[in-house]
Amino acid sequence: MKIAVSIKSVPDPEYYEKITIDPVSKRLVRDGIPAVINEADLHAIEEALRLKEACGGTITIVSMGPPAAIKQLKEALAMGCDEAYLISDRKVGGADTLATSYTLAKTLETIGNFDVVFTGSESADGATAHVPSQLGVWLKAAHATNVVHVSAEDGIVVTKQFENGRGRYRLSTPCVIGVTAKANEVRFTNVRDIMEVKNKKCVVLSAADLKDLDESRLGLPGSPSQNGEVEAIEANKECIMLEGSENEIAEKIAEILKQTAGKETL
Amino acid sequence: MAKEIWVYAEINNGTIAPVTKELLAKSQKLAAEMGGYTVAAVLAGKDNKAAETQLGRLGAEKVYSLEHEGLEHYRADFYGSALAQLVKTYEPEYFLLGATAIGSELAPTTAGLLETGLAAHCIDLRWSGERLNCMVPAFGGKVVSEIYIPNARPVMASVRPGILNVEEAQEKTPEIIRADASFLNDVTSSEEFLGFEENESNGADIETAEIVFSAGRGAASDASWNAIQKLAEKTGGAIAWSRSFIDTGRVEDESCMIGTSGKSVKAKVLVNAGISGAAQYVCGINKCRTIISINKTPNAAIFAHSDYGVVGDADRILPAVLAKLQ
Repeated sequence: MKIAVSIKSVPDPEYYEKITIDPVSKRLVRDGIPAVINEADLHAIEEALRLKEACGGTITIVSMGPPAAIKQLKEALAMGCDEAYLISDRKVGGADTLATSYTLAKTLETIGNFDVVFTGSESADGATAHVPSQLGVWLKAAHATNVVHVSAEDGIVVTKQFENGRGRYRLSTPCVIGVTAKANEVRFTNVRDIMEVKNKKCVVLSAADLKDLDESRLGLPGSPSQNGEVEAIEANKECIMLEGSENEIAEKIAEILKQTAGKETL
Repeated sequence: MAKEIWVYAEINNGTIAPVTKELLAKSQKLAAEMGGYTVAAVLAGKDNKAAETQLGRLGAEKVYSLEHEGLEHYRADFYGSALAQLVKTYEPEYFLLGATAIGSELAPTTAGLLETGLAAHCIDLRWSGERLNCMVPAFGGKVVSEIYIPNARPVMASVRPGILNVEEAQEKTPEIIRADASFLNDVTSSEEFLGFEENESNGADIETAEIVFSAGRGAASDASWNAIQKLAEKTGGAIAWSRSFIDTGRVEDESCMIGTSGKSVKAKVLVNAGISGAAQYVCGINKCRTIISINKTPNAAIFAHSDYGVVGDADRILPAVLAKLQ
């Protein structure tokens, strides 16, 4: 089975509290925040490793991003994936999700015919959760988002989380599966796999390498949605600190609850 | 192009999703500001009769109703193809969906098929006089970006449930347009619906409850958790939690999780127990009227989002509050 995982290098969510907005340029200031593999994408990699163990095959990592993202691709290789491709080009910069998924789809089509493509259900930074579906649309493949379980025992069967329960679907291949953190526990990287990274194929592609490409669909010019201003959400409440004994504090909280719940219930 | 704002009508077990009501009310307001726009609801299902007139009461002037056997169960590709074809036939300028689990998948599928722009998980929609600005949180809710779609049509947006500030919509007697669904006979789906397993009910609904007790990492002990359950029972409140609380392993249900990837609450009183106040969490609580937070750390971020703060141990404070109510 030919398996691919689409991953994204994102600023580490541990540091999002430190993000500010430059008052003059109105741009996000995120200097010094390290890049990591998007968390849901780690679970996508884990799911790919499990599928490979069950069915055999190879795992190819694809990603779109700046050249520095090669570091995250190597981390993915160290987790046990077989080869990695980074599409990195000025032409693909500033892309919205439609242009991003188009670029990733063309990258996947250029590399080979994949049976199953895993990706994180959503990214920590943009969090649109658009890419799994739109990748599926561009690839004319089955697709599922918010997937919490994958089974390959009787075709590819995914379980999707909804508000009121879980639905199961059998997907025909090729398919794109957007995996959430609930799908699995990510394994620890072993030393042998880390040693193997240098022997694995890790390629940077440019737009010129992609087959059957419509360049007008790339990057900012190919993006139907545009960014306007960005504002920080700041906390602005005057918090009254309740002090005194635990008994006094409890009395005050109970009072607020009583006023709201009304006398019928309390 | 038709001067219409479409709202996808999401129906669960025969009930119209609350976010559909919110979107219809919001669309009425936007239509008035924009001038000359009609608000339409879009229904896709096997049997739409019951919902059609209800949508008028919720503010739809038109209802596009698409009925087909293949729409009995939600399937992303089939529903996406259905909506994309409706849009191609009737050409609305705006198309809004709730950012529910279904909407969050159906919106990008439909937008992808139409090759148009989509703003995700919006917390507000603002008419600037010239364009619709979709307010989209990013970086875990730390910032909000204005997303707009200058040229492609329809402009599409998915909007978080429970977050719009809207009044009741004005009732309408809708014109029902029964769309020709025969094109769906030729649409093949690459997914097969196998079954649905409902969540076990866990008391009051966190999105509508007047009192919500929310547990974080600092309230994972038996002492806090038992007190929270009894407090909820006593006050008729709902129990919610943060992502970190799920990580403790005490619960695994994300349907009661507050935050950017969870739900928004609009309680009259929200009690945060042992919650630190990460950006991802606080963007789900800003519609609450009174927020009380208990945390051991004096400089916890949650206090800046709270009306009342207690620096203390939830394991001790919560049972004491319970004792006062008994």
